[in-house]
Amino acid sequence: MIGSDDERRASAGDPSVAPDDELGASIDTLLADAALWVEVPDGLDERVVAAVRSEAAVGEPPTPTPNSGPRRTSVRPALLGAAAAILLLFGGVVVLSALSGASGTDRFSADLVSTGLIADVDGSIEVTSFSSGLRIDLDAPSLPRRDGGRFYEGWLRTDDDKLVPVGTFHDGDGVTLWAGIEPERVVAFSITMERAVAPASPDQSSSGDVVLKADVSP
Amino acid sequence: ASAAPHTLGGSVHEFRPAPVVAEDRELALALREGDEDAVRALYARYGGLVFTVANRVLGDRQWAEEVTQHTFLQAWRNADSFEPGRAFAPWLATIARRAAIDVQRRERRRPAGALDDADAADSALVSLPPSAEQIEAVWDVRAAIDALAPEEREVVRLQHLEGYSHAQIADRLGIAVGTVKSRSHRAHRRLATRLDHLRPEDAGREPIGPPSRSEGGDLQ
Repeated sequence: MIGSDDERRASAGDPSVAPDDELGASIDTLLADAALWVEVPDGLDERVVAAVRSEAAVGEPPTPTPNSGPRRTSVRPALLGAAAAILLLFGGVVVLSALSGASGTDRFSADLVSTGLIADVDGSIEVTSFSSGLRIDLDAPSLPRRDGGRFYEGWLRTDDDKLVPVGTFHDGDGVTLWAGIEPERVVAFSITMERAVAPASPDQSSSGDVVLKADVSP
Repeated sequence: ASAAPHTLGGSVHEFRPAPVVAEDRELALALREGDEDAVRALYARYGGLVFTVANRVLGDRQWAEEVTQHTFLQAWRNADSFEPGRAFAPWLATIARRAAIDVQRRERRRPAGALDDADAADSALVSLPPSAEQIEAVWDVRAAIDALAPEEREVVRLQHLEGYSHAQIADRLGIAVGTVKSRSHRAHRRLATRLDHLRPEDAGREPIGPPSRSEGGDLQ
């Protein structure tokens, strides 16, 4: 705004006006990339909606999902079955045998498989049951390190389809995680990429960016 | 530990402030119900960012448009597997990146002429696609740019993309140099706040934005 205090200070070379290079080289590089400033083609929104409408008009029977209500449209390609088959093919199944939740003697392990979000990573977990909860020993040294407010987080999925966070870490080399949950309720373990959030945030849900996972079943 | 999906309101990741994430949840529920208007709303919110990601990978507007259409079709098809309470942004960015890589590979398999005849800017000559983290950065920076006021965005564009000085920008826009500096200062402060997670740790700057989750605080 012409005549504002900021402008008068700026014009006078007041050092309180921050230099334009405070963003850092990586951001500067992106800001200098024409691809970041591209204008979206006119009418692309209509073409996207038309593509969806066209698929809806072809019509496939809806794919029922658990606990879902009636649908207003009937378009759902049957991808859930294919996704389940892929999980079985790549995830494998590890059987939990007689975990009684006793005292550190009940133990199982599982191999972690990559979702493809990060190439060429794998790992394994060994889960030991204690009265205080489940100790999860993670070995995934191929995970690239995340720093600067970014990290990984482990999750257990329960038999009622809820996620339980089990801890955060920078890399997968010799990590110990803990979960306050009964072993017989655990059906899967996963690792996601996460970022730091404000402490005032009421909720800390998974980003959904799964990098490694293992299916387990009691 | 909370087991229910919930929002990420108040994240340092400011392109997902609480109201937007709450709207994402409503949008996800509508999408899962097969509501075509939800696709339109989803595109309105993220279409530009998806197109930017695709264009960044492919360097071709036509292919980027193809990828954008594919991304939203995939979102529509897979809405059942998307948990309300998650944010759409990383999900869509991942779909877009993978689709763009697929297009890149497809185009590389086309019959090729002499290498010397190829346009140096041809994306098929690029040997490695951007990583997921690089795509995250592209997404974040574009979202931060889009959130600027138009007059601030134009100053930033002329500074960084065109390489103009303040004086040159003032001349081009027909405004005072002080106005340019002021707009630049405000814009860069906003960008620094929104993109703090992309800035190097050794930048020697004062912390900008709320303290991080990794520092503990209310999570204890």
